[in-house]
Amino acid sequence: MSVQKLNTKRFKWTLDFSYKNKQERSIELASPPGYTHGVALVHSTDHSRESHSNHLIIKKSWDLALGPLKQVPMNLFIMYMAGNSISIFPIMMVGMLIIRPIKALFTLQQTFKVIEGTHAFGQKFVFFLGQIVNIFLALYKCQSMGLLPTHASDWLAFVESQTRVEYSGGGFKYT
Amino acid sequence: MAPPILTIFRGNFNRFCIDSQFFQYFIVLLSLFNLSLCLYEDQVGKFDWRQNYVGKIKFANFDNVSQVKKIIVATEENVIAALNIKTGQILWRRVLEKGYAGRIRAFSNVADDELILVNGGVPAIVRYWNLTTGHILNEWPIAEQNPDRIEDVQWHINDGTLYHILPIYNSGVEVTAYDSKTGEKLKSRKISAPFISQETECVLASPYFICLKGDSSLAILFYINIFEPKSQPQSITINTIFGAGAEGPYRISLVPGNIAAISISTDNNRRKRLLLLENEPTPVPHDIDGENSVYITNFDDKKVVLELSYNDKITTVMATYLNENEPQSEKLHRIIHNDLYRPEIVATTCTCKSLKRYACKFLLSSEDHSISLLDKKVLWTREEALARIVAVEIVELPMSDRDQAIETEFDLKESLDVDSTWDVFGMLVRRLSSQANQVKAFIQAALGLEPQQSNQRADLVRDKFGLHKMIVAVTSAGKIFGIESKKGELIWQLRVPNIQGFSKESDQMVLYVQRGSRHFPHPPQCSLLAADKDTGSGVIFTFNPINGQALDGLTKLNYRVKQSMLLHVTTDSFLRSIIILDERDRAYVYPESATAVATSVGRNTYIFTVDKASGILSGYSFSYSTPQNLIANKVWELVLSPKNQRITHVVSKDPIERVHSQGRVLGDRSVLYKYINPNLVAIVTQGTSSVQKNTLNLYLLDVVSGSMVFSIVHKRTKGPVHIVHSENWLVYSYFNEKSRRTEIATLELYEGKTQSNMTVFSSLTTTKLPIVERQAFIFPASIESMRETITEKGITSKHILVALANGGVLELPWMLVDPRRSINPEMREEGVIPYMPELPIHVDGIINYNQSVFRISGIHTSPSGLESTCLVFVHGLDLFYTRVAPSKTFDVLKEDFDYYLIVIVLAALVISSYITKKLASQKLQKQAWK
Repeated sequence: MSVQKLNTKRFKWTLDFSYKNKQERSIELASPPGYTHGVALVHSTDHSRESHSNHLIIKKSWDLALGPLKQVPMNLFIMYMAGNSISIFPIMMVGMLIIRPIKALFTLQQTFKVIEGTHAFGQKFVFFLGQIVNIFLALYKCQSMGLLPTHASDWLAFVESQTRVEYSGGGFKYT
Repeated sequence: MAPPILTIFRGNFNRFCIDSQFFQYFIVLLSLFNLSLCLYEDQVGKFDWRQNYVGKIKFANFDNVSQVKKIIVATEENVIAALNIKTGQILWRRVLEKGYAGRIRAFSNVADDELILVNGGVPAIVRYWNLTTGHILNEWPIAEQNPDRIEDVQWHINDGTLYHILPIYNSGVEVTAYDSKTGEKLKSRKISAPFISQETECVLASPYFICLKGDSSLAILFYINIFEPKSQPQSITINTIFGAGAEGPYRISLVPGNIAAISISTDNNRRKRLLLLENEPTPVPHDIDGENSVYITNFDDKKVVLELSYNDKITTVMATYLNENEPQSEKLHRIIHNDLYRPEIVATTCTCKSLKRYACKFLLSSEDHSISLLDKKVLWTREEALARIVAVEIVELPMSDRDQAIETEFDLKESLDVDSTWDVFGMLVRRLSSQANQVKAFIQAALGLEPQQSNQRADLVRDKFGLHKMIVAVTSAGKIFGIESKKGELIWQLRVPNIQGFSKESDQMVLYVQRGSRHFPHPPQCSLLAADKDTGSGVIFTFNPINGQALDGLTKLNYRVKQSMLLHVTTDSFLRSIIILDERDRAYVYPESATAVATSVGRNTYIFTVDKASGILSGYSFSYSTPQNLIANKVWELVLSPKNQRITHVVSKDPIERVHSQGRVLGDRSVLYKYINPNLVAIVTQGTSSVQKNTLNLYLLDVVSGSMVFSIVHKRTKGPVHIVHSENWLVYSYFNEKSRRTEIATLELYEGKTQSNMTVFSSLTTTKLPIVERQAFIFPASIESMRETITEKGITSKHILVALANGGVLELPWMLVDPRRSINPEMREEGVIPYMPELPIHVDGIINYNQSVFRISGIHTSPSGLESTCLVFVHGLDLFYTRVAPSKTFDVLKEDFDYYLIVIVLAALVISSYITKKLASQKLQKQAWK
C-alpha cells in the first residue's frame, strides 16, 4: 500500500501494471491518471472561502424565515374564497390554515438546525411571528364562521340549574 | 392552491346561499313529519294496552230474548253497554253525552231485541236501540214544560208507551203519554192528588204513585193509581205495615225488580218491610235487616223476595216466597268471595231446570262499583271502579332478590362506622360471605330445595331501563288498585272502608308517594289522604304500593283537612313526611315522628290555599315553628272577588320536574335566560259579573312571596279550560266564543339576557318581573285533557299530550305552540317554525292509533329510567297506557339493529388486519433476502 502511495506521488502520469503478487491484485484500483485527492480537496475549500457564499446562506435562511409572512396574502385570498358558510370544503381549508402553522411551530428547531450565524435568533423570531400571524388569521376566520365558543350560548349546556331556596305546596281548599 | 377550483366553489356557495332559504323550509317541513312518533303495524299492542269500562251500574237487564244472551247495562257514567253473560266482556258499548246532558233517567225492559232509553235533562232525549248491534234506531226529544222541576219528573216505560209523570205540589200528578218509538204525543191527563207537597217523599211504583207524609211519630202513606182516570187518593198508616212499636224516621224507596213494590225502613234504618203494589197495596209481614239489599222477582208464578246480606266477607242470598199464608224463607247461596263487598242485586234471570230447582243468575253490583255475575259461584267480576279514577301515581318496582342481596352487602358500610370497618379484610370477609350466600341460594334453587320465600312475584321486579312500573290508582269508590304496567294486569286491590272524596263535587283524594322503592330494606310507602264518610274529617291510609299491603292502617285525624303537601326532605329512613293544614290553620306532620325534620326546614317551606267560595288566596309560612311544633303563619293574602270572577283552576308545576337547559339561544347567539320559578302557580278565573261574563283571567302568582308576576284577560272566551304548567311556559286551551272555536294559548317567561343569580333561585330576592312571550293558535278539535311529557333529566324536548273528544290522544310537539313562533318571516329564529295560526293534527301523532279512549279525565305522565322515554297513563272511562319518546329513542339502539352484521364486520376486520400483518412481514422478509 505504501509503495503504491509512493508511486502516485512520484509520478503523476505513470501507470503501474505490474503486480507483485496475487494479494495485491485484489486491493483497490489506482486512481485514474491526472487525478489527485489533494487537488480536489484544495479546490472545494477554496470555493467555500469565497465571501459571497456566506451571504447566500443568510439570504436563503431569511427566505425561510419570511416564508410564513409571504403566505399571508395567499391565505387571505383563500379565506375570502372559502366564504363563511359551514360546509366540508371551507372547514377543511380552515383546518389546514390552523394546523400548518402549529405544526411548523413545533418543528421550528429542526427547520433552523442547518442555519447558524449571527442572524439565527432574529430569523427564528420572524419565522415564529409569521406563523403566529397565520394562526391569528385562521382564528379570525373561525370567528367569522362562528366556530369559536365566544358567546354565552356556547357555554349554555354547562350552566347548572338554579337550586331552589323556598319550597311550596298547596292548592284549592279541600273542603 | 388552484384558484380556478376555488372560483367554482365560490359560485356554488353563492347558489347555496340563495337556496338556503328554501332549504331551511324544507328541513322544517321534514322535521314536522319526523317529530311525531308513530307505530309500525307489528308494534301494535307491544308497548300499550287499553281497558274498557262502563262505570257503576244504574240499570241492568238480562237479555234472554235475543239469540246471543247478554246483559244490558246503563250506568252512572252515561254509558249503555251489552256484556257477555259468560265472560263479562263488553260486546258493544255506546257512550252518551257527558254529565247532565247524558244522564240516563229511564230504561225499559228488554223486549223484542229493542231497548228504550231516556236520557238528558232539558230537553230529554228518548233513544231507541237495537240490542244485537247496539245501533240507534230512532231518537226524539221531549220538550220539557217545566224545566225547573226536571229533577222531580218520573218516567215510566210500558208496552211501547212512555209516560212522563210530573207531580205538581198540592194539586196532582200530570201524566203525559208518548209513543216511545215515534215520539207522538198520545194523551195527557192530570190526576188530582192534593197530598203531594215539597215535604213529602214520593216514589213511583207503577201503577201507583206513593208519598210518605208525616214525621217520625205519625206517618201516613198516600197512594194513587195514576193510570186509572177516575182513581182517588188513598192512604195507609205506617202502623198497619209495621204494627205497633215502630219508630221513625221512616224512609221509603222503590224495590228493584219486576214487581212493583216499595220498602219502608224504620228504627233509623235498622229494619224494613215491603209493601207490594200490584193490585192493592199489601204489606208483607216479614222483617228485613236494614243493611240487607232486597230484590223482588217471580219464579214461575210465585213472587219471591231476594234478600242479600253481607257480613264479614260472607254474602248470603235468601229467598222468601210470598205465599198467601205464611212467607217461607230459603237460603239459596252462601258465598265467600273477595270481589264482593256489600253487593246489591241489580238483575236476575231464572231458568227452570227441573221440577223444583231453579237455576238463577244474579247480577250483583258491589258498593265498590264492581259488577259480578253470580251463578252458584261468582262467574266473573268487572272492576268498574276504575272508570272513575281520582288519583294516580306510577311507582318504580323494587329490585330482584339477588340485587337486593348485593345492595345489602354494600349498604352495611354506610350504617357502620367507616373508620373501624374500612379495612381490606373486613370488606373481603363481607364479600366472601355474601357470595357464599349467593352460591348457597343458587344450589338450593338448582336442587329444588325450598325456594327463597319472597312475597313478591318473580316478574314484578325492576327492569334494566325502568320501563316496567306499578300504577297505583285510587278510585272514587275508595278502592285502590295496583296495576302492573306491562300488560295492565291488576296485581292487587285494596278497599279502604268508609272514605270519600273531600268534597261531593270533585271526589278529590290525594295520593302521595312517601318513599319510593329505591331504599331497600325500607318498604316503599304511599299515603292516601281522604275524608271520613261519616264525620268528614281527614283520614290517612298508608300502604305498600308494590304488594298492596296496608302499612300503618287507617289513621283517623280528628280535624278537617284544608290543605296538604309532601315535604321535600326525608327522614333518616328516607320517608318524606306530609304536612297537613287543618281548617283552623294549624299544621300537623304525618308521621308525627318526622316533626323535627319538618320544623328544621320550616324556614323555607310555604303552603298556600285557595278558597273557591270566597275567592281568598292565602299563603302560610312555617318559619315560626318551634322544634317541637310546626306552626303555620299567614304571610300574604289576595282576594279575587267572587263578585267578578270565579276561580276555576289552580295549577302548579310538577314537583319532580327538572329543567336541563337554562336558556334559549337567539339568532345573534346570545342567550335568553328562562324564568324558572318553582313556586309559580297559574290561577284561572272565569268572569261572573254581567260585564265580564265571558272573560277568562289568568294570573301567575308566586306563592312564596304572594307577588303577582303576570296577568292576562281573554275577552269573549269561556271554558272548558285545560292548562299545562311546566318549565318556564304555560299552555292552556279555551273556547273562543267570538270565532266559535277552541284555541290554545301559550305563555313563556324569560328573565332576560342576563341571569340575576346563577346558582340559586329565591322567590323572595328575585324582584325583577319576567319578560313574557305569548301567542295563540287555533286548535281544530275539542280538548278533554292536557298534560306535558316528563323525563328524568329534562334533556328530552317536551311534548304536550292532548286528549281529544273523539277518543284520540294527540302528541303535540311543544315546538308547534312555541310562543316565539314569529309572525314576521324576517324575524325568524333558528329552529323556530314560522307562525301559522292553525295547529295541524297529524294522524301520526295520535298515540293511541285506533284504540279510542273516551271521557278522559286525566293523563298521568311519569319518567322512565331512559331519558328519552316517558310513560303515559290515560284514565277516564277507559284506561290506556303507553310510552312516548318525544325526541325519539336516542339512547337505545333500534329494535332492528343488526348486531350480527356489526360483529361479523368487526371480526372480519380484526382477522384481516392480522393476516395482512403476517403477509406484510413475509413480504418484507422476502425483499430483504433478494
